[in-house]
Amino acid sequence: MALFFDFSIPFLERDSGGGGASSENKARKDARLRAVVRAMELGYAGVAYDRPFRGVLSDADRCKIAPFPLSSLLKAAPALAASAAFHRDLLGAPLASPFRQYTRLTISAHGAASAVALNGNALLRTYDLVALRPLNQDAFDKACESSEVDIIAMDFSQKLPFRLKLPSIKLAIQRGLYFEITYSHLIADVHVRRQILSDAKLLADWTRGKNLIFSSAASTVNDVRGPYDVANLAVFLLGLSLERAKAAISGNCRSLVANALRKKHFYKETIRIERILPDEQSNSKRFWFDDWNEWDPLSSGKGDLPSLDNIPKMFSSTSKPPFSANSIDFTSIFSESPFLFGENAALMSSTKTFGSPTVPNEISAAVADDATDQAAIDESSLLNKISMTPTTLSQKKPACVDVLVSPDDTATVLADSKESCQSFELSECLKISDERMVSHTGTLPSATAASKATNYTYNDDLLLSNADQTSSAIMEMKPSNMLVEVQKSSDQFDNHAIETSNDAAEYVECIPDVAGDHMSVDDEGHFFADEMEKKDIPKIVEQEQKHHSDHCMTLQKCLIQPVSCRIGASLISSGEDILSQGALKETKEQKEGVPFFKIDALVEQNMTVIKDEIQKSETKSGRGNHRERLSYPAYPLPFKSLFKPLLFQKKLCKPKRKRKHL
Amino acid sequence: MVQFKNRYMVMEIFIDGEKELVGGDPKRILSSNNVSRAIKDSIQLNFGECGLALSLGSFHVKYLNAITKICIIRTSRADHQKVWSAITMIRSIGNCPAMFNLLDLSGSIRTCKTAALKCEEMKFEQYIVAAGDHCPQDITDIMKESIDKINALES
Repeated sequence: MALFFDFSIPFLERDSGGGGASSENKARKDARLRAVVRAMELGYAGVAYDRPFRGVLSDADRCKIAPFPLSSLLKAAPALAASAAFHRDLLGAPLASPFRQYTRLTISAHGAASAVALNGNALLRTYDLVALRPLNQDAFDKACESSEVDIIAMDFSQKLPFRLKLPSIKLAIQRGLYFEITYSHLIADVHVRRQILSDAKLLADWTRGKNLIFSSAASTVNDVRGPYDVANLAVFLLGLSLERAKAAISGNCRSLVANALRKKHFYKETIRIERILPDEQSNSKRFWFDDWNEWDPLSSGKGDLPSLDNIPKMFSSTSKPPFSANSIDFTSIFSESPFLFGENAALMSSTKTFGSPTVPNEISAAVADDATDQAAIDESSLLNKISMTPTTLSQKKPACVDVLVSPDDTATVLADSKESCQSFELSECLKISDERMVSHTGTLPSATAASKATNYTYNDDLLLSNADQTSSAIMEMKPSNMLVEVQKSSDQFDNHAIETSNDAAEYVECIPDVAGDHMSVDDEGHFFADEMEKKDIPKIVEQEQKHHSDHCMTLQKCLIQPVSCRIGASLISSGEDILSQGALKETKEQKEGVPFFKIDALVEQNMTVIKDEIQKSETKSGRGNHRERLSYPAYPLPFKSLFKPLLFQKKLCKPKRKRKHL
Repeated sequence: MVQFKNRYMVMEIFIDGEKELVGGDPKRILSSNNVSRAIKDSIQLNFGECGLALSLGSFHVKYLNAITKICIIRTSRADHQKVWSAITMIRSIGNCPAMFNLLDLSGSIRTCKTAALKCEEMKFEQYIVAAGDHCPQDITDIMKESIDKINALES
């Protein structure tokens, strides 16, 4: 996480007076644009436009520096995004962070009075960064002692008009001011080099790399250098250590700009007041607080360009409108096909804000493809359904040998009616489900499989999860009076004390029914293939998924497990619908009545387990968040405590530890 | 006795005012001789005769691709920071304003090759994007040649 910054791209355009001035302005702006493009290309994550200023501030000196829009940058360099991504990759900088443009004012101070007069001037805070360039000894001393600027910039290209003093430098560092060394003069002019190096080395020695930043001050493209090149110059010529040199263009800059922006946007650096509309507040108070979680300490507001990941997307034809961070679309989350569940779970656990799972980007595409997906899934689930029967039967061989033959028949029939590749798939399914069943022979096959399905959903193997889900679904295919017993068994699978002979026996009994169903299916092979895949089931499934999502809203995120069960159940039960041809209403009742009841019971049992897991993950990722947040010390603590008391306690502890290190 | 070690720097060259140069002009500016001379001049200017003499021992421009503007420079490990600094302070090659940017620094030719190949690939993609329509036909052949050249590099 190293972001590199260049805080000094000179902004030399004047307020246009006549025609000649405007053309000059244009040339300067062009040069600046090209320098910025080069900086972005080289992998910098942010630049600041530096406006030099002499004299007394007036109201006309408000910040008028307009950041370049993305379009103008891309016009100057078509391959900008690719190049920037390439260089950031080499530098180890994250691609996701946007390119930021800050504004900066550098004021030349002629005396102690002018250095101090800046304090509390509201005009300064129209700029993101404020730098002071002392021009004599008094100004320098005063600047170090008591000025409230962010940066003390020194022009090393001329002989310094004052002497650096160690005590004042130490004082300035203590007060959190940063010293700036610019390197463009070093590169540009041979004769200036000896001047620069003698003074700059003194400063670097005395600061020991602390509170030191390097910036380019490049008025032309050719003066910008890559971050590591600059670091090497600092190492070799100024004698800093490599870490310090690197920090001087990345870490120090980051903390500098974070501090400066806090000064700019927050009252007493801690309190930020925002206007919210009353209806907005009543609507989503919680989401409003989530906004604070997303608070970006480095954001320059309108100067932020979209992150590099997004730039190519913006110009592709398939671009989607960006989701706002706060909007939650539960239906779209759960209307994804059940077999993508593993991915869903990963998304859920990876989202920072626990209250509001962010919407995965692919969803809108996924919704569009839903119909086709579902058809494919139905098909595969059917294959699996058939594949499940022999394995479950194989455990109770003596009970029903004759049934064991029938699934094989169905398999062959199916393979005939469909393509050969699917039969291969089926055999694969058989193998996999065999393996799984063998591994859990001690327990009730369906129950354990269901539990495993939810525990191991992180593996992406589609076939495996298919098998698991169908196994859970088979449970529900049984007559409704059986469901009670299955519930019992599911009671027990949590405790791993299973193997009640009743259940097992009944379970076996029900299997012939299933197999029989399939036989009938095979009789109607064509109907099966055509109707089942395409039309009816997707609709029914969608209906049901609406149900699920409604349910999910109330049950919070603990529903992860039941959802998969239910969707599996819906698939199968709707399969039965078509088998019975027109018994839609009945099954609907069944759907709404029995399975839901049953799953609710399941939910209650599994709640505890999942809750524990989720809590674990919450605390884990909470820690991660916490660490991130440490870098912005003036975080609005009271707000945090409203909904995350745990973190608040830790937050109190951490700074103490930090002090020890120092 | 410590073994003599080298450093290999994969660098890219930015030539200013590229668009004003028409056709194959970059090739004329960018030859390993020219680059080598520019670097040596810079070392002499910044670190003097002694600095140049010390670093000349293993200094060599191993490879240069005028299309993607990537070069591989070998220096001794003792002096690589000096050479690198000198390269950073280069402002022009011949009369053409140019700047160098380090892409990769590695200690053996093997790792250097892999890094260079990766960079070549990426830069070539960017070149294609930037060139747009007016892209010469024989350019893929040249790229193949240059990749072969990288693979054939030895110490």
